[in-house]
Parts: sequence; structure tokens; C-alpha cells
Amino acid sequence: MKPHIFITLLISIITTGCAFGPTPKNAKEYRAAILEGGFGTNYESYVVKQPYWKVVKTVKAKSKPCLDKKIETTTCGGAYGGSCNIKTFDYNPRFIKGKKKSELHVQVIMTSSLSIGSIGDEPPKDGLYVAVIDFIKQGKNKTKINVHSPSMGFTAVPKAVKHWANQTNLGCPDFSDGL
Amino acid sequence: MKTKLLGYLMLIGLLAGCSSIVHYPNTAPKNVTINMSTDKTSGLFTSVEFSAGINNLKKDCTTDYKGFVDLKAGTNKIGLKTGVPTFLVLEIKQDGFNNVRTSQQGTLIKPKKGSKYEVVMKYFDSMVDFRIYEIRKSKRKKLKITPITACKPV
Repeated sequence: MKPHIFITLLISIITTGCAFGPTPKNAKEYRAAILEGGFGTNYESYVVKQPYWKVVKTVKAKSKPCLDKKIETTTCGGAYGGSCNIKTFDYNPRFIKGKKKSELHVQVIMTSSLSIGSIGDEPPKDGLYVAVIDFIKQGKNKTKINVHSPSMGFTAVPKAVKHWANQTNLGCPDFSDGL
Repeated sequence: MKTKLLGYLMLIGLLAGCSSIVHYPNTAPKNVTINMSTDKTSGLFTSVEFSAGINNLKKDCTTDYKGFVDLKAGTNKIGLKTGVPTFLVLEIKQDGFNNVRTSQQGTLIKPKKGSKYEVVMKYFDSMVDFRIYEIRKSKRKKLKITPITACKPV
């Protein structure tokens, strides 16, 4: 198998949910697929020592300006046999705020100039789910965070959320340093 | 003879290679301080460069590139012409194993006479925190990061 086909297949497997069945169409299906486990899935649960209102306020404020981005990557030569492959990753974050539980859904529409055709069934309108993160109130000064994401690639969003929730880094992810 | 020819060839090569690189003259009074901090360092096979690109904005919102200034960790001072709409871009360029990655953070700014500006750029754990403040009569005011798309043609 040519390396670029393998890479494209790997991205598709990780994000479409090929490893665990049909493409998740909503956050509920994505959570269920990740919790089933299997290749390429990651579930992490942790508690931050920050009040729920503060975590929600920070993540909500950051999600739109930091995550609503269109990233373009160009890879030339090597595995692509002299031609260039331009991939675009159109991130679509959505924050749903609740009194005791809030959710961050991140979907990505992916396009590639060297398409090998689609794998799996039709993706949702706003793209494939790459992260569903739940924020749950735990008393006065703690918040539980449940992260559902791929285990390889698309790690920038869960990492940024961890920093925002802990108030350790209020910057935006540099997607050029890893999606 | 051979040494002289080699010298000429090297000079031509250097000039050709650098012809597209424009260093900002940075001769205007220094009214912008860029405070840069990062955990990124160049390695044996990788390099990380930070720079500030200065673009003057024309009336139709197209840019007139004036050049760039290399940034080092710590304090960097640049001079922007007052009253001239400028698009200031901070760029991070990472080069390793024939793979060049760049990311940019930019904001529109029209420097005022009598004001100084402070840009804070923090790059830690692959996250960028970019802020700009206006300092006028010893008062420090946070300015909104304004993308180039906010420019309205006159």
C-alpha cells in the first residue's frame, strides 16, 4: 500500500468511526462509539479544581475564536510522487451550555486535493466528530470533564480544553503544530 | 582562480536566495514593544523562528508588505509609522525534516501619535496567546485583536 493511501485511510478510520461501525451522526452516537473502545478511540475523564461556572465561561468564550478555523496543509513530493496534496480541515465547534452539564462538540469537514474517494457512509453536515467533551458540575469548586476523541491525531482540542479548564494556558491551539 | 570563482558563485547564490527576503528597516521611532516568551527551541534537525511582519494597508484593503523583523525571546522593539493603518503579523516558522510549518497571528493597528503599544506573544505547549495593549499617559488598555477581514475599503 502506498504511504499516502495508508495515511488517508488512517485519518478516515480514526474520524469516521470505521473501526467501530457506521459513522456517528450525532454526539450521542459518537460518545457511544468511543465508549465501545476499539482501535483509534480515546476516552478520558478528569476533575479540575475550578468552579463549573468558570470552566464553562472560559471554554465557551474560547471555543469560537480558537476552534472555528479552517486549516490547510500542503505536502509535496515524497509519498505523493512529486505532486502536492492539499488537505483542508474546516473545524466547527458548538458549545451547549447547561446549568449542571455543558457540552462541547467539535466537527471537522475534511477535503483533500488527492482524493481516493469516500470511505464509510455520508458524514454529518458539519463534518465528522473529532471531539465531544462534557463538563459536569461537581460541588462548588470542582468540575468533571469527560473527553471523547480519537487517540491519534486531533489531539489539539482536548489539550486546549484541559488548559482552559485548569486556567493554565488561555491561548489558542496552533493547529500547524498538530491537528 | 578557482577560489575566486567559488567566491563569486557563493555570492550570486546568496543574493539569489535572499532576494525575496525583505527586512523591515525599523527606522521609525520605536512605539511597539513585542514581549515574546516560548518553550519552543531549535534542535539538532529542527529550527523554530519567530518574526513580525509589517504590512501597510492600502485604501482598498490590500497590503503593502514592508518587511519583517526577527523576534527573540524577551523584549523586541519596532517602530510603526503613526496614522498609517498597519496589519501586524507574528509568524512562527518551524522547519524540520523537510517539513516547513508556519502559523500566523495578526491584528490591524493604526498607531496613534503619543501612544505606545505592547504586544504580548506567548507560545507554550503548542498554544498561542496573542494580546495587544495601548499605553497612553501611563494607562494600559487592552485592544481587540482585529483580523484583516475587518478592513473596510475607503
